[in-house]
Amino acid sequence: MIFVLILAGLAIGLGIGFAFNITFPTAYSFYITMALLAAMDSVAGAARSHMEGKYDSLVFITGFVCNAILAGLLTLMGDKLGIPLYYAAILVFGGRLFNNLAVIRRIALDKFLEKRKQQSWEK
Amino acid sequence: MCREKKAKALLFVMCIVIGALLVSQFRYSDGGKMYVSAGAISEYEALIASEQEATANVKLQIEEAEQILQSYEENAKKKDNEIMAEKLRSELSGYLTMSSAETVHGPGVVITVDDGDRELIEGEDINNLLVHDADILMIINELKKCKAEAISVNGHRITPYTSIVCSGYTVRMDGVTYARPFEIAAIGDAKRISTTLLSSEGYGTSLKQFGVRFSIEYAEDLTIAASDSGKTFKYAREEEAETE
Repeated sequence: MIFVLILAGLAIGLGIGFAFNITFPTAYSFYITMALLAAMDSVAGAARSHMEGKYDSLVFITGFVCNAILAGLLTLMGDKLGIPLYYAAILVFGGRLFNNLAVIRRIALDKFLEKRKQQSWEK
Repeated sequence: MCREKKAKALLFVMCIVIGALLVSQFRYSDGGKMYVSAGAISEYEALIASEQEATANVKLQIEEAEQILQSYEENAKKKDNEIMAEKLRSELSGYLTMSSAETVHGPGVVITVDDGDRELIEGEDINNLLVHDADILMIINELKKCKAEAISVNGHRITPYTSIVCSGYTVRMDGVTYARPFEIAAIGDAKRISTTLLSSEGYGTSLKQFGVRFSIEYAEDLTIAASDSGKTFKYAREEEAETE
């Protein structure tokens, strides 16, 4: 099951984060946050496409890299122009997270209901 | 099957990275605002630049002091007392100039203030036409504001300790009585002084409006005598330098 994998990965990552003190330059801190958002969006997208049976690791990795680069560029441009362009990235990634979660929930619900139907049929 | 495994491994690694980054970000920002706008950064940059400039100035001062110290040490080694004495003398004269204990000369202005002679309006207070101690104090303060380097009133050198008080129709400075007209001489930037005093908000203008006589004359070379009242300290003691 893919969710077990995701949760396990997250748990291990959190453990690593707490165990080792990972630091990076202050100036990049905001860019890292944007990369984090892009990564979270990609993982949610991967989970969704896996449930839909359309998962492709190439699409997954290129999507993540492209999104992260675009988010970083927007942040950089906004910084230079004095306009908070990173809002665009936050809104899109945040909105997609909700979207993907909604799709995952529906597919899971469908599967669950189907199982119950079958069980009641068997009875 | 192998492809599936690879994809899952990729997802797994990505999740690990997300978790690790999340924790480090939590630790870093701890809920505080992290996004710093370009405007704030430029403000801080200006602040840092000015601080750096101040630091550079202090370093320059230290360097100068070290050079002086070095020259002292060199002279001490040579045992040439004449050079040492010369240096000390020039330093002393600098201090004397600073403390108004030496006669100085240079370009400046002579301000003449005198009681007005216009007719009083019925019921008007005569004080409106008279020169008061406060007027002289105000003018001296304006001169100091204009960075005047030496000031005297009717030939009496104004030092940081000079007191100016009213005594009837005269003014007492350091216990000596002076009468009108008051001639205030100052060495400094004549143009700056006259524009400050004679501007629409200047003190000279307001004195003129009252009817007091007020005039400024430029002087190319003005001599201002030393203060003749020596200063002795009865209460103030030098703070002992901290020994390292």
